[in-house]
Amino acid sequence: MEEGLALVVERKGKKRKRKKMREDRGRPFCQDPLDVLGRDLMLRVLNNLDARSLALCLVVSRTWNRVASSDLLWTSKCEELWCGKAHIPRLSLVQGISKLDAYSLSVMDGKRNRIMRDDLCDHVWEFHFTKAAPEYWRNLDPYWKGNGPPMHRYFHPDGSQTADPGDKVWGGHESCYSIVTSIIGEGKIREHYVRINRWRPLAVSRKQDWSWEMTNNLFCYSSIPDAYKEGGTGPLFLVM
Amino acid sequence: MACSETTTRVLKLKTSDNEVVEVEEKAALQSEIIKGMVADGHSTDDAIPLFNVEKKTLAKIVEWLKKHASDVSKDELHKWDADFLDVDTDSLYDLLRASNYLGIEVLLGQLTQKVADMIARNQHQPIKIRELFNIKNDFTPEEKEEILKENSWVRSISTIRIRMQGWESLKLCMQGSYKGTKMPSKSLPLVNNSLQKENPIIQIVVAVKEPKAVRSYNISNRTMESQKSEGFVLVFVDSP
Repeated sequence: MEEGLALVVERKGKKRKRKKMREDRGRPFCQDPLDVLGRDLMLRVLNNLDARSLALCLVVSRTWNRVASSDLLWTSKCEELWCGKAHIPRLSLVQGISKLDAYSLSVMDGKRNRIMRDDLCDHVWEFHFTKAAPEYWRNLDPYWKGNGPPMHRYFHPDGSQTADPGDKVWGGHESCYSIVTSIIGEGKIREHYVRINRWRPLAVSRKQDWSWEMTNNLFCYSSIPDAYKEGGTGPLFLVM
Repeated sequence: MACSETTTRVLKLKTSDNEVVEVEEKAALQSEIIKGMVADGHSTDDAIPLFNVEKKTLAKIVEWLKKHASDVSKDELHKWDADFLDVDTDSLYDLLRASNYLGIEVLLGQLTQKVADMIARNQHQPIKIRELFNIKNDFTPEEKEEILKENSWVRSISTIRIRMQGWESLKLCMQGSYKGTKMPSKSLPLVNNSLQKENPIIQIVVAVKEPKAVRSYNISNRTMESQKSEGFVLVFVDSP
């Protein structure tokens, strides 16, 4: 029995030694590509990486950090990110920030579910009634009737809301909006909604293309894409 | 293979170690440098001096030039390229520098892609990139955290597998919510005793000795970088 045990131990030892040899042979004098290739070639190499891999290169070493944070690399990553998005966050287009920061800020802002006044005012909103709304309203709604372009709504910095002239549903009354956010503890949001006049609160959500949607059981607002707007849209500061 | 052109001139290339390599002009013209020299009226009797390339590397490059100037199917070329690029890292570096010097865009693209793949293959772990290329980590953990915090989007990774070995060698402290089954009988204290209070967004599924007993825990991301990986299977998943 002891012999058997000794044999097992020996075999394990051999295996460990063999493994170490294999490892040594596999990476004899592998060098840092940045040292060997130089900055320009390294930039070309890193340009082939996806955004996440590239960002992880930032923490490999200080020299890698300098190369991996180059604007040359992140400009194209930003363009890729923004391609097809409905809105481009204003704070990512601020003058003087690095493209890497612009990328990070964009990604973080794109996940934001808390709407701000700037978001409401900067975009034009498409408005329509939901299926659950009374027939009377749906009959006036071009979204359901198909007899014209969908209704638009505009939010203004003074708290008012307006529509296009000739809007059948509007009725000419004054409308106002408010954004309600209640925060508890360390910035955790307890509830968040948009209220128009005294109507039912609208729940706010974000779509994959960064456009907004506000809806209650009766009607629905969707932000219309305006990525063409110079300088971007939305708040100028980072919102959590 | 009928050649419409009658000129199949052979160029002589002299390497840094005074060896002469011959190559057909048609193939050699894929190099911008050689193309430029020929356009400038360099005589074919004299060898073109290539001071920065040694014989071994030039021979390989000439092989590539010949193959890419010949009539082969796209699939065959693709396969051939894959074999051609399957070399050790030092040779890759030599080829990269040489093709950069010679101005062979297509080859340079392939080589930089190959190195990029080597970097990206490390499953989003800077520590593995460092191991692969023998790079010294000159960041303090705090500095690294700072960088990753600024780019917090990097952390929402879908899955990573780390192999780790043996309960006893692993020092983890389980914190936060865990699904389903109870905590393992051994809760081990954290190596550097630094638990993140902020919401960790990565869950870890720890596979114990019996593969069926898989549990998931929330854990601070920082701990994963400071572990030696030997033996467990840990899977990171996005938090819901």
